[in-house]
Amino acid sequence: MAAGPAGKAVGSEHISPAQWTYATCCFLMGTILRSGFINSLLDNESWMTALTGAVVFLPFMAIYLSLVKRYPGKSMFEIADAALGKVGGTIANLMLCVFYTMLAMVNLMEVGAFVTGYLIQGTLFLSVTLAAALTAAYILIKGVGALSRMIPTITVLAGITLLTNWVQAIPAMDFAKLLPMFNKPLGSYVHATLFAVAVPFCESMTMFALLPMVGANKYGEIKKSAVKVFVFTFVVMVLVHLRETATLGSLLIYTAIPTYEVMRMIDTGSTFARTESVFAIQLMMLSLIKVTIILYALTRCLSHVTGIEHGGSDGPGHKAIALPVCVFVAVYAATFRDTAFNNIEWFVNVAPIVWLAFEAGIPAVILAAAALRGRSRGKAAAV
Amino acid sequence: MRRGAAAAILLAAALTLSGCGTSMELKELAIVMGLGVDAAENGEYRVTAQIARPALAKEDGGDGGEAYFNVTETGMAVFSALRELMNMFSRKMYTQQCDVLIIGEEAARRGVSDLLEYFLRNVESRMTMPLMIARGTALEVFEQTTYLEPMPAIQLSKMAHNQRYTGLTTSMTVFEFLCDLTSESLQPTAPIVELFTDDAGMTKARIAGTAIFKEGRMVGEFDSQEVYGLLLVNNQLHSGVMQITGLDGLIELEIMRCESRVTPVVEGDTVSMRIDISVECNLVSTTSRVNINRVEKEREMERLAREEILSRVRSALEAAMALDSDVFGFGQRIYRRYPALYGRIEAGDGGWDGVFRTMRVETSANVSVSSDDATLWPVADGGGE
Repeated sequence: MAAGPAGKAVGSEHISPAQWTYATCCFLMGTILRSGFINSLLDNESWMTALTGAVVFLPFMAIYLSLVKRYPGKSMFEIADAALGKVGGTIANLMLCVFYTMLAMVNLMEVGAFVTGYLIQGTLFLSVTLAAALTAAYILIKGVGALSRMIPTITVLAGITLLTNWVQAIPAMDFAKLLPMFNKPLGSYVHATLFAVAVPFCESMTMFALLPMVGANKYGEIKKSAVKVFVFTFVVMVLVHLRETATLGSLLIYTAIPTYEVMRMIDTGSTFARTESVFAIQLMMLSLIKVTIILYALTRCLSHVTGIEHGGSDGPGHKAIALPVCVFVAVYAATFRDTAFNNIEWFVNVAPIVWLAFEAGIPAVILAAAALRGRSRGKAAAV
Repeated sequence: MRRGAAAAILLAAALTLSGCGTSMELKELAIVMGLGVDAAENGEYRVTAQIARPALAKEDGGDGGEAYFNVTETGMAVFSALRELMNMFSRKMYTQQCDVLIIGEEAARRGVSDLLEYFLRNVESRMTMPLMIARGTALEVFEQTTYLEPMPAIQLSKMAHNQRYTGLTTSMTVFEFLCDLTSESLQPTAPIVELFTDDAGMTKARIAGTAIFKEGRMVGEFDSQEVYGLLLVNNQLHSGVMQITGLDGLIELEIMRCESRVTPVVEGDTVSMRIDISVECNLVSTTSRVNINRVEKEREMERLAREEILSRVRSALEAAMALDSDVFGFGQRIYRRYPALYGRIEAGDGGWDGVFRTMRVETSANVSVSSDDATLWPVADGGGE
C-alpha cells in the first residue's frame, strides 16, 4: 500500500500523527510492563537502564527520523526498496520479515506464558496464542486503522492505572533497596544498556509500518511525536523499575513478572482486593495491541516482498495473507515455547545483538545507502 | 470497523482473563482461612487447614466450634499435603482467602525456606498474610477457643495486625519474611503465639515473644524487653507502653513517636555502628506521689526513660549477638553503602557473623516526655506533695 498524494493515505485507512503517537506509546508500554529481563542483568540497578538506554538510543532515533524525512509516508520496507534497489531491498525486506516473525513469536509466547502461568493455569498454550493471533488477524482484515483510533483511550487508561498503582504501592516501597549502586562489573551495565536499547526503545521501529496511514508531509509532526514517545518511554521505564526494586528488593530476581508481584503486595485495606487483576487487564490489552501491530508489520512486509500488495492501489494486499500468517506465528510460538527461566536467559543474551542488528543495523544500512544515492544523484546533476 | 476492532480486542481479552476454563463455584470450594505447618516424622510436614463454614460464621463467634473445622494431612511438602487433604472430603482447597500462616516451632527450627517456597511460587496465595510461629504446634493453636471472632484464623490474623501498635513483638507478613530471608545478611523474625488456659478453663492464644531466625532456621527467641529494643533500633515501634521505676513509684509512658537512625562507622576495614534514637512519650499514669508536672521532675523522668531505652537496646544487641543473628540489618547497611568492604568482610575469617558477634555499637537516645496539662497533681490519699 504505497503512499498516495501528499497528505492522504491510500484506501480508507488513515490515522493522525497524534493517534500514531498513542499507538507507539501503547506498543512500548506493553513491553516495559514485562520488565523481568533486565532485572536478571542489573538486579536493583535496573532503573538505570532507562537513562543509559535513552542516551544510547538517541543516534538510532536520529537514523529513524532521517529516514522518515527522506521518505515521508513510507514504511520501512518501501524505504528499503527505494534506497537499496530491487535486489538489496528484497534482501533487507526478507530480513525484516524474519525479524517481525521472531518479534511476533516472542510476544505471543509472552502472552501465552502470562495467561497460562498466572491467569488460567492448565489452559492449553496453543489455544491462548491462537486466540490472540486470530484476534489480530480479524483486526488486520477489517483494518488496523480502526484499532489506532481506539488506542488513545486505552493508552490513557493504562497510564492512569500505572500512576494509580504506583501511588498504591508507596506504603510497600523502601528506597533503601535501590542500594548498593555501581558495584557490578562494567560488562553488566553495558549488556543491560544494550538490552534496554533493543527492548523497548528500538522496537519502536515496528511503528514505521503505520506511517503510510499517517500520510506524507507530516515530518514535523512525526518528529514531535517521536520526542514525546521517547520521553514517555523513559518516564515509564523509570517509574516501573523504581517501583519494582523499591518494593521487592531482594525478591526482584526471583520473579518472572515483577510488576505482577508488586501488585500482589498492594493492600487497600480489603476495600479492593486483588489489585493484580487490574494489572492483568492492562497487560493483556496492551499485549494484544502490540501483537496486532507486529503482525500487521509482518503481513505488510510479506505482502510487499511477495508482490501481493501490488495487486492494485486498493487491492487486498496484506489482508489476503493475514489469517495464515497469524495462525502460523501462533503455532510457531506454541511449538517453541520454553520455561520462563530459559526464555529470560535466551532473550537477554540474544536481544542485544540479534535484535539490534535488525532494529538498528538494517535502518542504518538503508540510510547509508540512501545518503550515497542522494550524493551520487547530486554529482550526476552537477555534471 | 472501529466497533469491530474494539469488540475483537475485548473478546480476546475477556477469553483470556475470565478464567472460564477453570471456573470454580463457591459450593465446590473449601475456603481455607488459616494454614498451619508442623514438623512430622521422616522429614515430612503436617499441614493443618482451617476451613470455613460460611453459612454458620457469625461475628459474635458463637461457641467458636461450628463456623469452621480443622483438617490435617501429612506430606513431603505443603502442596502435596494440601492435595492429600482432598482425599478426605469433596471440595477443592481454596487458599486465596487464607488469612494467616502458622508454623510450628519444631518445623521452624528445622527450617522454613522449603515450605515458604510454595507461597512464593503459588500465584493464588496471598503473601500479605501474617506469619507466626506457634509455641507447640500450629494444630493446637487452631483449636483454641475464640470469643469475638467466628474462627481462630481470623482472630490470629487480627492479633498479628494489631502488633504493629503494641510494641510487644514484630509484625511480619509472608512477603516481609521472604524479603528478609533472601536479603544480604538481614535475618528475619516472627511473632510467637502460645496457648494458655484462663481462669474459666478455656484454652486461648496470645502473642508472647519473637522468634529469631538464622539462615531460615529458628535459633532462639527474644523476650519482651529484647523485642522492644529490636523494634526501637529497626524503627518499627509505632506505638507502645514503657514502664520505668523511679521518682518513688512506677511510671507508665506511652510512646507517641519513635525514630531511630543507624549509621555505619567505617575506619579502614573496621566497622562499628552508631544508633541514635529519638522518642516522644506521654505520661499516662504513675504510682508516684511526687508531683511530676514540675520541670525538674520531668527532666528526671526523661533521664529514667532514656536509661530504660538504652538498656533495652543493649539487651537486644547482646541477645542477637549471642545468637549470631543480625536481625538489625547491620550487615545489610554496610553492604548497601560499602559493598566492596562488605565483600572483603564476607571473604574473611568468620565472614560477617564473625564481625557482627563482636561489633562495637554506640547508642544514644533523646527522650522527651510530656504530661497533660489537665492533671496538676497525682492522685494520692490525703493529697500529693
